[in-house]
Amino acid sequence: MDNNTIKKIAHDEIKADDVQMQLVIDLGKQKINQNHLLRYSLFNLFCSSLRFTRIRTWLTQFSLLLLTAFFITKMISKEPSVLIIQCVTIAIIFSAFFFINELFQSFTTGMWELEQTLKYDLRQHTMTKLLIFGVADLCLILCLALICQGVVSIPFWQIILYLLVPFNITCIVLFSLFTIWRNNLTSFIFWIGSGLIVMGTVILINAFNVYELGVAYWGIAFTLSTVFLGAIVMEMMKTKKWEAYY
Amino acid sequence: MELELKNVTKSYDDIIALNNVSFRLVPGVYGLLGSNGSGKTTLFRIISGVLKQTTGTVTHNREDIRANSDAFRSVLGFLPQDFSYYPDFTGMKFMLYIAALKGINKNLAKKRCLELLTLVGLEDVKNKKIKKYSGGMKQRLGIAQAMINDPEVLILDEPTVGLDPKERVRFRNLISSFSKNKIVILSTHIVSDIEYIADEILVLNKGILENRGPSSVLIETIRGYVWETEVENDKLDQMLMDHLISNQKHEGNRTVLRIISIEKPAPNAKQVHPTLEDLYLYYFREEAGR
Repeated sequence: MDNNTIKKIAHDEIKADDVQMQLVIDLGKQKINQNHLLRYSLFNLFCSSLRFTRIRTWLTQFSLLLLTAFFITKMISKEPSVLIIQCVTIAIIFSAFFFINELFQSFTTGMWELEQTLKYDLRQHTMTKLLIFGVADLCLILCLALICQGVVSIPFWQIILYLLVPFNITCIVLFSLFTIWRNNLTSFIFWIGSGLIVMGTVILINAFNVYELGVAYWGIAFTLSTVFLGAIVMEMMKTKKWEAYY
Repeated sequence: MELELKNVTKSYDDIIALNNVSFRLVPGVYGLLGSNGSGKTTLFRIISGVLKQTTGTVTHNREDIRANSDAFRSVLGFLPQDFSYYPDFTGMKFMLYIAALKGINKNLAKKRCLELLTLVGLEDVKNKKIKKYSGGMKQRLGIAQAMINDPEVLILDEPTVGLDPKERVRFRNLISSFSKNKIVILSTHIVSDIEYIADEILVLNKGILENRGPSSVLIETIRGYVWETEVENDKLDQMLMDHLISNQKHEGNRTVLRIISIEKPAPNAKQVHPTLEDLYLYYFREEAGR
């Protein structure tokens, strides 16, 4: 193409084919949508799980933390250390209930059947929530243990043991309930199970002087309960376990 | 694009819910017709991956859906028979939640959710909590969530339950407009729902795929088996006991009966053109006690 030709066509308007343009745009949009659907991102799943956790759950946990902290600091010189630890233990157990209730919402509301068919399926979604709530609960336990340490004359790591062992046992019982009754789990069964745990805990810590047991026993209980809880969680993570059974 | 089931069987202890079911589907609308307990929901649960079959394979574009479950779920839309929801979620929040779990980008999800809520007539109540929705509204929400990811395979288990006639017409139009280049399978007891929109009907009876084909072809299989006759009211009870009645219409001291019978049921009976409802009664006559 020489300069003359270029000069001649410089001001020529090339008419666009609007129909074809729109077709190309539509095909492009379709391709973008397809790519979105095929894209796999655990980070996005993590963010979605966080985004759609009910605000009520976070507020409940935060309120529990504040109330327990307020209660502990008010009881500084008035009550024995054991009673403070017992109260914090009950608070931790309730915290576990609220988080696990949120974790199992898919089952207690009957949404599990639909969620099992989504791109990020029920197993992936539940495990992500377990990670979020597990970390949140551990942070809560750490906070309360730090507050307790300033109030009672017990070493920090000992307080952690006193709190983590009942927490682990609570999780073991509730996760076992879930495994047995998964597709038939209802709020009623969940809260009955939770009530029994609270009752059992109160009876145990009042009937037996568990805090007088040596730290070594608490250490063993912590190790065993953690290993058992880990085994239950690993079992829950198996893909085959998430297939429906009727 | 195709979805194929080969020799799929599902059994629970002594009960065989699905017995050696095989079929191949290409893009189109398919109606699954069957009585209660015929295996429709079991079939849908197997196709959607909720339930594992005892034997047989389910493939999508020649790939086993179980081996490739992540990819298949990306192109699947499913409305379960017992559609559940999070009661404290609003309609819009629920749709955004499902969109997030279907891997749809946030901005696109908002636009798509609004579009679908408008299509199903829920745009005015999108910010209302689902627990305050009527049964029909909940069902429409269920249909909308199934379509968020513009699925290639759309499975709807009894989608028109709780919908009034106007909503059922809207649903039929929605499916018809959606179904180009998609595989849509829907089950229903309301025969008219599939009569107008289904390209093909699959008849499932006690876990066995008894027949399949366009409704006009299936109806032809019972041509000559549908009769109309007038009876005196004092003979009505006997006729009801002896024959499979599709419809009865009282006219003074006589009743016009529409009867499904291989043989002529009465001397004055006339053969009439069968309908899909007659076909349903013919196939599931044992459940009707005939």
